[in-house]
Amino acid sequence: MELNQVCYETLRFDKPWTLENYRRIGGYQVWERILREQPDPVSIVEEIKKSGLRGRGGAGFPTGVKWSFMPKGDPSPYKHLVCNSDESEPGTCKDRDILRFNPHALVEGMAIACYAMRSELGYNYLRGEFMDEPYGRFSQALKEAYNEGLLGKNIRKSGINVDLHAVLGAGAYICGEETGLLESLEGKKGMPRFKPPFPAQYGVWGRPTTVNNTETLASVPTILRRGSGWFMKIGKDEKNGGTKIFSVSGHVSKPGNYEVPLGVPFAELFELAGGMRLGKKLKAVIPGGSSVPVLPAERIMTATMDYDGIQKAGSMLGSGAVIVMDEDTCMVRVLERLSRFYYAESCGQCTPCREGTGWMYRAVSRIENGRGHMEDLDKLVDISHHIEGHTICALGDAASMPVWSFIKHFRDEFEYHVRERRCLVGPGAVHRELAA
Amino acid sequence: MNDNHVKLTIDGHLLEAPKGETIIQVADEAGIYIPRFCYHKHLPIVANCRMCLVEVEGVGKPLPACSTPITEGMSVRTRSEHATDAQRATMEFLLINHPLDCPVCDQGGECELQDLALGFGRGVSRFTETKRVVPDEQIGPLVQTSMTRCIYCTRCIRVLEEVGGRREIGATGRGEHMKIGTYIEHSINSELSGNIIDVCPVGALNSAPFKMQARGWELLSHVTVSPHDCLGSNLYGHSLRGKLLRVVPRENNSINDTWISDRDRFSYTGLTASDRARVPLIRRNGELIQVEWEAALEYAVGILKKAGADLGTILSPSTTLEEMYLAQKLIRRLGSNNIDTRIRQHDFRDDVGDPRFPSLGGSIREVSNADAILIIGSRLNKEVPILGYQVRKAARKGSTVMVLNPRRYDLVLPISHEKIVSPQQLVNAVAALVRALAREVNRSLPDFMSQFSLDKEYEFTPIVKRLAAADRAYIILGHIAVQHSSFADLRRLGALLAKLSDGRFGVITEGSNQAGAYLAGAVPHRGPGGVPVMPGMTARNMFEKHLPGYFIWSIEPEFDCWDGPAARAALDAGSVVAAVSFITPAMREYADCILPVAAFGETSGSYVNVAGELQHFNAAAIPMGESRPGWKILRALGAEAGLVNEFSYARLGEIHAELMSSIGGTPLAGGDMEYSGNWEVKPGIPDNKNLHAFIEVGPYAGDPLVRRAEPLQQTEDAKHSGYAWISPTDARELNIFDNQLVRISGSGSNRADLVAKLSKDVTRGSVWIPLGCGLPMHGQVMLSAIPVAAEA
Repeated sequence: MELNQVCYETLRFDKPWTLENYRRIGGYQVWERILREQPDPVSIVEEIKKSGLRGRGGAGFPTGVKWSFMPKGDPSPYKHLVCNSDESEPGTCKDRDILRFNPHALVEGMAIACYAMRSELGYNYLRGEFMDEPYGRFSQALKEAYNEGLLGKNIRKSGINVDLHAVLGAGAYICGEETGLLESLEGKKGMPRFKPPFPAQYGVWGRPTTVNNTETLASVPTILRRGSGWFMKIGKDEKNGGTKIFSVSGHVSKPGNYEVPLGVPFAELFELAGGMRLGKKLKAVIPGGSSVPVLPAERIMTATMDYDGIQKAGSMLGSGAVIVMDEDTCMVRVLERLSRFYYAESCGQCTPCREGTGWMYRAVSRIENGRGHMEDLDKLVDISHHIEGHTICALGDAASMPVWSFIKHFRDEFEYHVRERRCLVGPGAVHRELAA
Repeated sequence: MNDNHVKLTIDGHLLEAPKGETIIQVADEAGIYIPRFCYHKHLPIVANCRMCLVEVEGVGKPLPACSTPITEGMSVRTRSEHATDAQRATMEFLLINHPLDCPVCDQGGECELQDLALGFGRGVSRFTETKRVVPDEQIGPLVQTSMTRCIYCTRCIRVLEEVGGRREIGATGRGEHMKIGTYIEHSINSELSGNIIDVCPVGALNSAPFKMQARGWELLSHVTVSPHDCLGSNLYGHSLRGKLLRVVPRENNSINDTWISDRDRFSYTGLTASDRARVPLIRRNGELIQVEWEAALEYAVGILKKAGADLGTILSPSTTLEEMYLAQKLIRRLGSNNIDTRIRQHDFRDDVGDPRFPSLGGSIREVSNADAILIIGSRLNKEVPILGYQVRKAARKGSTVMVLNPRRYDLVLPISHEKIVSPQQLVNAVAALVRALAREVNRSLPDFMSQFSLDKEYEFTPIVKRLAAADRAYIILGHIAVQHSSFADLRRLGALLAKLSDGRFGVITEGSNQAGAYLAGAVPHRGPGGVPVMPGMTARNMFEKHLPGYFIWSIEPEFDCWDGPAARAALDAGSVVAAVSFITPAMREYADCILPVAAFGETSGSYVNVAGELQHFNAAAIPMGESRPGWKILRALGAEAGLVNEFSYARLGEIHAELMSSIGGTPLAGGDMEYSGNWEVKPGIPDNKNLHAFIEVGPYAGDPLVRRAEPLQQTEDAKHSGYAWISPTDARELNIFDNQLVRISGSGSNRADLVAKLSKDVTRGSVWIPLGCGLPMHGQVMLSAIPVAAEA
């Protein structure tokens, strides 16, 4: 299995982020060809459709199809491309490394996407915590691209205009939701908009907008350079084409970002990450960022890492953040931490999420701290089911899925907590004295 | 089937509705109730409360009815297991952090959350954690807050933004820590702020004056109409045991939609002022003494008869149609033609050119559908707040709003072009605009246009271009224009502008029934039905002439008349019958007979608004003390004057019918004004180096009732009106500092001592002073600082 074929291709060089090194892997060839030949934008969209590229931010929507929703017509600065680099899903750090180590791939990808959608203005919205290195590297790449005459007005006298800007957020999870991001980009409080209208009709500043993930856009130059067929074949099938970066974290020996072909068995990815730390046994894995249902060891070990494979196993590929937990992990404590995150990050506009996330966190926290009741378990599952699907954006779903999935798969641990007022597993089982 | 319509079923009912509507709109239309909190038909949709979730066939998750557009063949179930499960869940979430303080909450009994909790709530709460507490906001004297009760529907935010025109409150904080407020503590200053009370579905925002006064179910609701501006916003007066305790909007989509101004909502608080006229008083041996009604009426008729043809009658322009009609009938029968309601007008030169009645020249809908609106001489949002809202609506639909004002005002409107000229130059500036527009559209002008000065150049290009290009232009003259000493010229010029731009022309009249005064015959040159008659004296003439007898009705001349000091001098000299609801200290000095009249809310009647809409209203409260409805007083005066047969009305309806027989039927049209004939332009105010004082009628100073509404007087708007506003350049030359006490001396002994405020909004050569400070509306003045020692 070959690693780092698309977004991380420059990693083999000493200073992978430089323009020089990006050129060495064939960088900007596609963009320069487009500037020269000016192909029909539709042909680019079709090529992306054929590649099987799906949104790498979590929802997995086919990218080419999304691009085709944009209104046709002349190129316009009043249609926008927005890159979502507000990578805030707990466990995910793949986009950060694209921005740090291969920012030019993103710049080229954004320029191509702008051309394909006849947009002349793109924004890259980066989470506030990226202020230092990732923002710096991306800004530097933008500057170099402008200096090279690869961006701007009437680029290389082609008549093509593409301007790209980097924008820093202020560190709110909800600004990673595409319409929450658009609100934040407009300078407002990050609160998702109800859909319809979708961003393709009414996006940033009320203009047609497409929002794509960093990894999605950074994959575009390689796909067009090496062909959609090549990309698709790396992956599993036409619905799961190409590579995917998995951010493996938790109790593994070698945590990190691994760009592997889609459809690779979990077992292989697990091996790449060095297997379990300290020779412990694998207990559970959250395969796609903290918002997706948890899978117990036996279910994940037989799964393949692609959109359909993970779904079959009962979870979602999400952002590709693989959180590995060993046998000593107290699942109640993990859930308490996760619930607190969603409670703190709910934007507050929809009733179920605003009120429900706090309720769930407090109930889980009571159980964790030895003040739980047996009926809390069913109540929690019921609350989570009444948040899920009832809110404007997916944060409500994201907050619910860990709750019901943890209780579903590890109910014995929760019951033990309530009954015995201590942990069933791990160091906590011995040391922790819980409230009476 | 119409192409633009789709068919769908809701709860099994086959319905057809226009494309683009949402499920809740169609359901509301069909009478199918879907519970909701954040949705309001006149506000933008946000879909955040999640109470209106319904089941749509073929969609896995429940969808919000407020924001889901209807599609062909859609099948919606609002009461299915799936839908009600979602609705019940939302209700549970809403209630977990909502305080259980219904017994002490003013919203109790009329609370949307309470009502829906009955239908969708659980009997017992599953929530065992601690409830959230949110600190209250201080947002001014009109709205009391209890933010712990807030359910974050954001209707209040949207009302202030969409209706009030400015985002004065917003949400800060995330999730559970979200907070509705002003962020930096300050009062909400919109003249439409009270509407947040109505839209708040819970008890978070309540009326401060109504606090702990009564429960909704104890109150009787009465249909009434605003007495404070010419639009006649529709209201309900809520009363308990004969006392008016609250005023709320009554929906009328051709006037005020579901909104009313703060003035209309809170003015009722003035009804219980300590200077209410409660008993009839007559002067005997120089002293006002309390007498029985019979004695007072006899005394009053004595004064009226004695003055005879020389009687001067001045009515408030907010008097009801029936009272106006009876008053003119009485005094005309006594031989006098001197009756007027135009108390703050000074320039009556073109009364002959008057249309049937002064009007907006179209419906209020036509204003909100205009594509270019030019406002001349108006502080629109404070003069007629709901008209300000209608213009705002027009602007949102893409209309260009332009302003030509004698000082800068914040109209809370997206103004495309604004031109500020000094009040002295206003007439010449409008004339220059007329000339420029005529050039642009290549049309000739009436001869009188050559009389206007060409001394000064004005740059009007953007306004001219827009007016010439507009399909539906609207020219609106405001109160400042009406009060201007060259109003007749301004009106002609305004009408010309409308003609040149093929648009409409309207005048915002003062009071709530100025149009009605023309139709009732309560102006000197019009008889009942608005037919021209041998003109009597205008309000201005009556005070300038010093008549032997005066009959004043619901006015306080020192505040309400163009030249307060002159009015006072005239009233001091003559015998005065004052039929009023409130007694000012001055009135005790000049009035010889005071008849207590029922005030707003205590009498029935009708008004004709500026768009020619005839509106009836009922008494909501019992007249205070021994005061009586005006029409009954006039009926008794008529009988006392020996006109028993002509004043033998048993009911108000008989008076109305008698008047309507001379008016003819409704709808009423104001008609166009005549402006083509010979006309002599008045020089207006000389634009020289002298300082001129102009009275600014504050939003809460316009009539006796609002002046006594304590909560309104505590607002920032009211406080702002109490100063002498002067330009910083003038102040520097006169050596005046901000907040310094100054003396403004007019002609004769007229003078006012006021605190000076410096503002760049005021043009050079003018000082703007408050109503009732002892100077006429316009006049040349001297301004000098009062030395600090003299203050003591």
